[in-house]
Amino acid sequence: MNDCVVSLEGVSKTFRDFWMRPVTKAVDGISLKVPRGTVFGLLGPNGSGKSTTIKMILGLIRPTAGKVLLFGKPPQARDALKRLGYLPELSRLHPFLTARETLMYHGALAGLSGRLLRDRTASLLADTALAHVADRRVGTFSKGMARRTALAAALVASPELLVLDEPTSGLDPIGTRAVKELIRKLASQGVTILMTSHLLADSQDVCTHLAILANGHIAACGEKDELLQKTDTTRFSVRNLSPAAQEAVKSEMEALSGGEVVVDHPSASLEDFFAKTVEAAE
Amino acid sequence: MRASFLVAWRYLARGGAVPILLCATALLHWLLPGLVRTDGSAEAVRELTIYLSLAAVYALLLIVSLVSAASLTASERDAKRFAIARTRPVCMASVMAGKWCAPMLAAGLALAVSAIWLLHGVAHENSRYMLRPGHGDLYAMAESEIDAYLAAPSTPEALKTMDRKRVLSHMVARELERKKVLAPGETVKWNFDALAQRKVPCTLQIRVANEYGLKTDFRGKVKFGGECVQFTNTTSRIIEVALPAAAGGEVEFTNESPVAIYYSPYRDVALLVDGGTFAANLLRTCVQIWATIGVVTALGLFMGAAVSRNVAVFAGVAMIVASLAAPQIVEAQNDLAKARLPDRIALGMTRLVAAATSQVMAPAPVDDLASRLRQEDGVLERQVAVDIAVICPILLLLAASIARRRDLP
Repeated sequence: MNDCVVSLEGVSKTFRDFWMRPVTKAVDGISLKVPRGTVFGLLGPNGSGKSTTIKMILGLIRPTAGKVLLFGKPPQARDALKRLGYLPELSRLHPFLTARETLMYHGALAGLSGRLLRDRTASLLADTALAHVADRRVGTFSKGMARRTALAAALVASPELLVLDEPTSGLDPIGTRAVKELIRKLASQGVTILMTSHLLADSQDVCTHLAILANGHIAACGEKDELLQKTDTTRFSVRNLSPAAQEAVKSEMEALSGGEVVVDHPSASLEDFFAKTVEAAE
Repeated sequence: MRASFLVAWRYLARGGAVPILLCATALLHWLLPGLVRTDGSAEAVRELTIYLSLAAVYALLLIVSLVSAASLTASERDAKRFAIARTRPVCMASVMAGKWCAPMLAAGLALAVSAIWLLHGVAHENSRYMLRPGHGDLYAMAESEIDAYLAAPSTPEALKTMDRKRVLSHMVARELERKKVLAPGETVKWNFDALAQRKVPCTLQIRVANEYGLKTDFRGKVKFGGECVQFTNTTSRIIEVALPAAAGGEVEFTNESPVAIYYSPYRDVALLVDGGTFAANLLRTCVQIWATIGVVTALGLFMGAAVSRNVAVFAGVAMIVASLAAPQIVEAQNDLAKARLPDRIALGMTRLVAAATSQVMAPAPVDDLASRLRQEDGVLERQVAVDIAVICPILLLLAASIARRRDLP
């Protein structure tokens, strides 16, 4: 229990109309545990109950049934909220504030003040590559800069749990890559990350654990490698072999496996190729 | 609270509301004195200048505070930013309190501009307390009259079923407006119980008229605490007689004019006692206005949290207009004894609006400041305490509660 940052036990949520008649059951008896220090991806098609689950974890709505615990406490508890950072799907920043003022505001809401807040703000502006525009109004920022500002605002109180709703939405491949690197860095520092994303490639890149929701139920849940591993296939990777050596190895392996052996060259991901090309062009 | 105050203040300052408010205040003070036209004395010009300029700033503040407060919460709600605040270890009521402080600071600055201009741009004199003479209990007198009337055998049976409460209030209102006649050579005595314990110089003020409402030579004498003061007045219908400091609260007035004097003992007779400097009275007036603006600001925050910005602003302005019009409607349509039920319901609702907003909407502080009157001790303190310590927190808590429910990502 102590190793679980977020715990959901038999949680359901039914939305009702004005007359309290049930309209839709968005989440139906899900149980879930998010272990400490993991990057946990909550995936699912539209209407599967991802957003409702996130809102219940954040304490924005109460479950109709079941129990939600954040650090072993109800999500509305002040102690739990002090250890939480949240990045909404849309950045929702105050357009008339500068990036520095935005971080100072969020830091103050989280209970930071004085020199600690100023230092934390300066360090986050540098980490998110916003130091050069720190005193520019957020309303004039590009989508990517606004997203980075919102991410910095979520991180300002050094949270132990970071909830990211579509963290890479609206970002170009370079920005997406930077955010993913940041997520990996935070995870290596022991921050637990709970994220939702429609971009499965991004989730696959950064998540260590996955849960797939469908129709308000958990369809699959567990460690990513366990879920995605193809146990009926074996792959070897070696430095480039000559055609003669390839033929020799192939025939030897066909004899051993008794089936067809495929030999090909692995291809780089489009994201890596794009990043390298843009970097070279710049 | 400090963080949300700073954000709200930057919203108002960078959005233009604060600069526009301060410029409009300065412009009003600069323009209005040139527009004031009276046919009377310098005193009348001074009175009208103070009244118009401060009343204009008051009206401006009402509108600007309401609109800016409604915008503050409505913009947060529309952009669903309250949800982010709710994921922070902060109480939503303190967020609202911070937002409330920003328009209040803007209103305070505008009032400070007004106060500085009034202190330096207008000739001013000390304020005065107004003491009214003591009379018997009007309701008790009216009740005894009604009882006697109903007991009389000649009273028709139909009249005995009248709504007693309404008839009583009509009789009291009529008595308050009734003019008494003081014939030449006749003397009248008034008791100022509040003055009996003090030994201070004061001024007797009587608003008088003759039979045809023409200017005439009013003469007479006033006896007060053993002193006798003669007066003559041909220029104004307001007679002011300076009286020396003396113990006792009985004032004796003798009409030595050749004509009868008409006056209302309840409305037209008063004793004016020094009430301190103009600056002190101005400060009290500004505090009173500021407290009223506090209620309107809290109302704006509440409405902005509940509905969208445009609806909140429209509803807020409609409420201010209804509150201003309600007292006049009630006064004009007071006698609806034989009216249809819908009209009576409408009048009842209008009465309710007038009663609920009387403290907020009555421009009494501005009126009093212009006519050099100082309110009775405790009135200001009571109003400010009720506005700031009771009504505003209730509205802010309601706004916080609604913001929690209406704003979800």
